[in-house]
Amino acid sequence: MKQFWFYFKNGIIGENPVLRLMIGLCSVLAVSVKVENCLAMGAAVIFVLTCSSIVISLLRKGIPDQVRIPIFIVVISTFTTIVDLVMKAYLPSLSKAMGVFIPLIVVNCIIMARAEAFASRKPLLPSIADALGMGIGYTLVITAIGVVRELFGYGSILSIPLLPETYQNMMFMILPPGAFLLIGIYIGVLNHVSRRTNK
Amino acid sequence: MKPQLKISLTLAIVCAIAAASLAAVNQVTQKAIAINSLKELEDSLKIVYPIADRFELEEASDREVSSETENQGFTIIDQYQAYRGDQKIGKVYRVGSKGYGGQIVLLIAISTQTNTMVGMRVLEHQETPGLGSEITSSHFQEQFQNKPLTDSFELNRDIQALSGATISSRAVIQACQGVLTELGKEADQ
Repeated sequence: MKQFWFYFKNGIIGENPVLRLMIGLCSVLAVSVKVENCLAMGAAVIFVLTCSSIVISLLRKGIPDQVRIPIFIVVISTFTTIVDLVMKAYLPSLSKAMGVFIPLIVVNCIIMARAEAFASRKPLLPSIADALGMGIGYTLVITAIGVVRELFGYGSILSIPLLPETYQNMMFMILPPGAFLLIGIYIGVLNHVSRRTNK
Repeated sequence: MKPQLKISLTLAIVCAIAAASLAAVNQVTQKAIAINSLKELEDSLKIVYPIADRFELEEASDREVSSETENQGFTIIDQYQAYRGDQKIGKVYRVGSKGYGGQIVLLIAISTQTNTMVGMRVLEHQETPGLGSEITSSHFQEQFQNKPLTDSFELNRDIQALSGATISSRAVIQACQGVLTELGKEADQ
C-alpha cells in the first residue's frame, strides 16, 4: 500500500508529466482555453491511461518484445476510440469543443511513455497507481492553466461570469502565447519550490 | 511453435479483441450519434430560417456540381428546400468557404418569395479565437438578416468587417456571393 502511494504521488509531484517530464504538452496548450474543456480532457486522459495501463500490465508477460509498440498502440487507440464515441453520443457539445484532441490522445506521449516505461514492466497495482497519479497530475496542471486563461481571457470560470462587464478580455490569454507563458511560469515556480525544499 | 508465428498470432489476437470491443461500443453509441448530428442540423436550420417548419434535402443529382465557381475554396455541401405548411418558401444552403484557419461551414437561408437573405449562421470554423471566431457573434451575423439579394455584399460597403479579422469576414461574404451566383444559375435554367 505504501508503494501504491509512492507511485501515485510520483505522478502528481515528483515526475509530473507536464511540468517535470514535459510530455503531452500539445493538448495542454491547445485545450486549456476553458476550464470545462480541461476537466473533460483530464477525465479522458485518466480513463485511457488507466485502462491501457491495466491491460498492458496484465498482458506484459505475453507480449513479445518485437511487437510491443504495435500492441500498445492498438490497446491505447481502442480505449481512445471508446472515449471518442461515448463523448460524441452523450456529450456532443463538449465533444465538439475538444475537436481533434480527443482522437489525438492516441499519440499523447504521456500514455505511450507510461506504457513503455512503467506498465509493461511492473505488476498491476503499481501500474494503476502510476496511471492514476500521472493522469491526475496532468489534469491538475491543465486545469490550473485553464482557470487562469478562462478568467482573464473570457472573464469567467466554467462559463460563469466572474469579472464585471467593464472588464476588457485579455485576448492573448486565449491565444497560444497565454498558454506558453503560463506553462513556463508554472515550471519555474515548481522548480523554485522543490529546490527550496530540497535544501 | 516458431517465434515468428507466436509474434504474429499474439498481435492478431490483440487486434481481434480490440476490434470486437470497438464494434460493441459502436453498436451502442451509433444510434445516439446519428440522432445528435441530425438534431443539430435541424436545430440550426430552424434558427437560420425560423418561419419555415419543414426542410427537405435536395438530392445531389438535381443540381449542377458547382466546381466552376470562381470563388476559390467555395463549395456547396448540400441544399435544402424550406417549406411552411405545403408552400415552398425558400432555400437553405450549407456551404464551405476558405477562411483564415481552414474551412468555414455555414448555412445561408434565402427566401425565394421576398428575394432576401433570411439569415446566415456559422456551423463550423477554425478561426483565431477572439478575432476571427467573432464571425459566430450575433452582431456580425445580424448584418445578413433580411438582406435584399440585390445588395452588393461587399466588405465595408454593406457588410462591416470584423476588426482584425478581414480574411474571416471575407470568407463569409464569399460564401454569400457564391450562393447568389448559384441562385442566378438556377434561375437561368
